Amino acid sequence: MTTRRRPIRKSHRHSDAECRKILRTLSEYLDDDLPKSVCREIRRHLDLCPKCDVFVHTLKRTINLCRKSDVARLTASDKAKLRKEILSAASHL
Amino acid sequence: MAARSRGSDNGDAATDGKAVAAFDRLYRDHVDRMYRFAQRLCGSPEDAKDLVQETFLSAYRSLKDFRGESSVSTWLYTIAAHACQRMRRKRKGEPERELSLDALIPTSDGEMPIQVPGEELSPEERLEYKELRRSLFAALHQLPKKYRMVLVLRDMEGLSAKEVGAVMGLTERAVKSRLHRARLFVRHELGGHRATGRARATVPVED
Repeated sequence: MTTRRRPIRKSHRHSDAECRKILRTLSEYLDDDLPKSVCREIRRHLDLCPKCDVFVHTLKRTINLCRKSDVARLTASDKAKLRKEILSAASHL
Repeated sequence: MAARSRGSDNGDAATDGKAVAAFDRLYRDHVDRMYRFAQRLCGSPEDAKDLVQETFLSAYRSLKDFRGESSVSTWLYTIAAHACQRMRRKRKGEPERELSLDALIPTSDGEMPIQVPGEELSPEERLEYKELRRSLFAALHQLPKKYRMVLVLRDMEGLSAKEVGAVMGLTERAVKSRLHRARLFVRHELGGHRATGRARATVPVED
């Protein structure tokens, strides 16, 4: 049997306090650190709240951006120079 | 301070040789990781090199005492985190600030959509992404250090909340609280760098 999902019309018909409560827990929600029942409650809220839905997506993308960020590497000569400096300093301890 | 006499007998020379060999292994396996971490914490390549030097010097001194209770990389992160604090105290940087959670959570309908691209990027998005990475780096260095360190360790270096807690001497609860504020701050800065008159998200620490 197939069930057809009714399209959910998102509208902001709840209090800001409810949104703020959700927004305070979003990192733990995205890190999968919350009990299943709480996650269900959050998903229900996100289905109904366009503001929080945008917020959670942008927070998720911010985290992904952090995870993918890269920085320059040390060159081989810098590594050798640093090693020499460390061992030289160590020999004078 | 007088320099320790080295190689005065064969025993000392052999010990030093073993210590240097152990150090070389440690250095070879972890210098890239530590430099990456240091750059993310310090911002400038020169400060990052200073931090790497301090870290490996401390590691060299205490290598014989390392008992393997944590992974080698967690041990090195811990040494680097302490070295970073020492260097910061020496330089007498700006006072540490607290991030206000309320200032980072929108209350009105004026929330600005953040332009963080998803997984697949068009050429235009690639350019935008490059700009975004620059903004991320700038946002990271606007973060007070205690928040920056949590974000870098957790979201950039990939440590678990428990490992971050071990490195920084914090409970998991405290790590998660700082992490959430740090993420919200960076998100706010990335969305808000095109905006004017954005809310101030940092407040001085109350004594």
